[in-house]
Amino acid sequence: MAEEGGFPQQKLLEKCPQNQISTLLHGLIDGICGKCPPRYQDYAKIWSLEEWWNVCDYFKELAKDTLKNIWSKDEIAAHLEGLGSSKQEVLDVFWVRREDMQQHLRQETCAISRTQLVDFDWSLKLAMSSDKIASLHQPLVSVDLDVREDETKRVVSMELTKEDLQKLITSLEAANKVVNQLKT
Amino acid sequence: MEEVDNIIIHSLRSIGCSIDESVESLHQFNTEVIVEAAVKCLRVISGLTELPTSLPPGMSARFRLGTTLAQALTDLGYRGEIGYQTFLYSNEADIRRVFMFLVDKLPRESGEAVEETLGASLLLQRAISAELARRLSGPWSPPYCKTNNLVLRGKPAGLVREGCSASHRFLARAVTMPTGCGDLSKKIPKEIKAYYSKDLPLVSHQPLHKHELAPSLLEKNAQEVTSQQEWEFEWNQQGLASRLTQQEYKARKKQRLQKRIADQLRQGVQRGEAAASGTADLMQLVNSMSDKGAATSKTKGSRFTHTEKLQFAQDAEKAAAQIGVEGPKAETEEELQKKREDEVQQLRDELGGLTSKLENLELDMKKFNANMQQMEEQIGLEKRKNKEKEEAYKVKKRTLDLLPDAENNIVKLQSVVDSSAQRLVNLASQWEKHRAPLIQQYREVKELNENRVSEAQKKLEEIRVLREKMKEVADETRAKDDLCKQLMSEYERMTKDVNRSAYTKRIMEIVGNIKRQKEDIEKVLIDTRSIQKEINQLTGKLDRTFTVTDEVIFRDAKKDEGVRKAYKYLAALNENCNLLIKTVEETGGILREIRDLEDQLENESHKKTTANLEKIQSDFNEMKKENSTLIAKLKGK
Repeated sequence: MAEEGGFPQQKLLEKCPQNQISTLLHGLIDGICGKCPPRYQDYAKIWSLEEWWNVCDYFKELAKDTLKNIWSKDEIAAHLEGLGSSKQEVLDVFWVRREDMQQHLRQETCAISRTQLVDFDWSLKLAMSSDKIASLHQPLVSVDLDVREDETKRVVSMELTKEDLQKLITSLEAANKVVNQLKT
Repeated sequence: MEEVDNIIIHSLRSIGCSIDESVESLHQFNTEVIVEAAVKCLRVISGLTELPTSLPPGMSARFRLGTTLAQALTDLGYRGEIGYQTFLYSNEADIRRVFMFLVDKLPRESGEAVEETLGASLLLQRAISAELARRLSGPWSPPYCKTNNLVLRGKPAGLVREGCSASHRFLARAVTMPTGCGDLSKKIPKEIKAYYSKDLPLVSHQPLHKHELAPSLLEKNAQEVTSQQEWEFEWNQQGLASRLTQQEYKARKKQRLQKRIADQLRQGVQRGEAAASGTADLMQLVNSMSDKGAATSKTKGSRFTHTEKLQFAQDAEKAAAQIGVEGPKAETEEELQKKREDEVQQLRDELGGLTSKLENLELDMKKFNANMQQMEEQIGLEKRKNKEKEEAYKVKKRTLDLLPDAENNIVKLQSVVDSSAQRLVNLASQWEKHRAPLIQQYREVKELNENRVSEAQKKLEEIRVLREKMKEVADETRAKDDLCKQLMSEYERMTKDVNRSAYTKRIMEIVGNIKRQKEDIEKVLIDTRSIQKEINQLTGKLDRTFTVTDEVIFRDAKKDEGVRKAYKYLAALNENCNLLIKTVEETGGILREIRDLEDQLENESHKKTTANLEKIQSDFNEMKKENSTLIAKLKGK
């Protein structure tokens, strides 16, 4: 289906000036990797909005397909037959960015749990005194866990004393041990 | 004495005595200062607070203050002459002795002692309090007066961030940077080069916000460091033991992991199939689908469940469409409800029947499968038996064929058997011939191999030990560096303390002085001893000469008159000389006494006796006056 449906989009790409093709494609792949995708404003003179969407979607899918089917260089080239002169350029881009995309897509694929930890942040505080004790000197750590749950991000914040933190770390270490066991 | 005075004055100032800047020695202290300093010292040492720091106007009160001070000092363990006069009519030496005692008794700054034991936490506390003090030193300004909440505070002025409205989360993004540029000998492929030079944005442009740059870079660095560490750890633990190159080890690990994942996935799919066949799960799935349709949210799941869901979703849609078609018929709600219920009941029954049938069928299938396997096994067994029997039959048939001409055949067979035995022996001897060198070779090779293996193991062990040592040494270096830093900072703090350096300098000087004095004393002692010896020698000589002369002259004196006179003169001379010596000794003694007295005189004159006497006189007069007024008052009553 890609071949028949692909040709109009491949034709569309020819409208783009040669020197912008690689920039556009790199931008699209950046978008796949979770960075800034290219903006329509920069390409508004070349394509209408619908065409833009078409081109973007098509090449994104194509880039993912190269990884999904583990195509060799020649196989990718075979799928880009309709491009003509800019074929080599597109091929180069796909080939160079293979690793980046693979890494990101792998992460996405691995995230099969309902809730996943995306990022975390911590800060250390020293409580000098409280309303009852004049000199407390208790270290506290506040941990923020960025959790993705059903495509929405949630921040779980908690404040831990030294013992609590030790507990958290031991449980995480136990989890890590399980992962390591899987690895070997 | 100047050093001692300096130290005393420094200590007194540090406990809060108001001593004028121009005062440099105890000589310049007057009574007020002395009393104030002594009282403050006593307050610090023993917590006596009822004593006034300033001199009272009344003479008797002054006297009482002096005596209390003296009493307090003796209570503290001051050994030496002390009384009210020490404070009120002071002389320098006494005062110095008293203050030296008091300064010695002053408690050491408690901070110093704790600092040495508790180091880090105390330093932190001190730093915190210093920082807070610095921040409190300036006035508060409203947030709109500061950019990014930065304010200039303290001396020397430094930028301080107030509040937290301008702070950001530590949010890291993945950043990409060119790799492999450090090694110029390796050529980077053309297309990668083009990507790096043309399309890869600078690292500073990659994060969405400016303030994410630093976290991103830190995160990237940390990530690389930890991955390297983890790899090293693993390589040390397992990689080296496996005796593969790094690439081989990685490839093997990858293979293993892939196989494992594939296994897991297969199991998961099987389990999923098993679960999907249950009716209860099906109902649940349909329910969840209808919920999900409303929420339009995507949950992650295995591909299998996704397709399952999609199929059932289509079914559900179809069903809904059918219901939708039936919907418009004009029927009352109750009927509709009833009908629906009936229908549901019917469908449920049907479903139940079907599932039970299905289960039965499955059970049957399993049974049949098991039967089939059993049958196949049996067939295999039979076939094997058959073959054996066929073999046996063939042998028997041949023997039966040979039976008619039995004797001839027996002889033939015997010869055949003999020849084959001969051949066997031949072969065996040949085999032996070949075998011996081969076994020899095999043994050698085996030994070599074993040697190699043990050597390799030894080397591996060595490598591991070396690596561990490397790590240890690195840790040690780090620890030493830390210690060095801490000591340096401590040292810097210490050098600021003038007092301490003055003390040490003074102590060194004193030690030097004492040494020199000791040498002098020894020299003088040697001198004295030699002189004493000389004197002794001389007196001895004198005595001997006198006795000899005395004897000679005495012998002659019997004969000659003139000699008798000479003997008399000799006796007189001796007596006179003895007297003279005695007188000289006495003069020496008196001179020494005079010197002592002069010293005493000087001492006394140092004690400002006349001034003190005048003072005492005036104080005495004042006291008398006070007494007389008191008596007058008493009489007036």
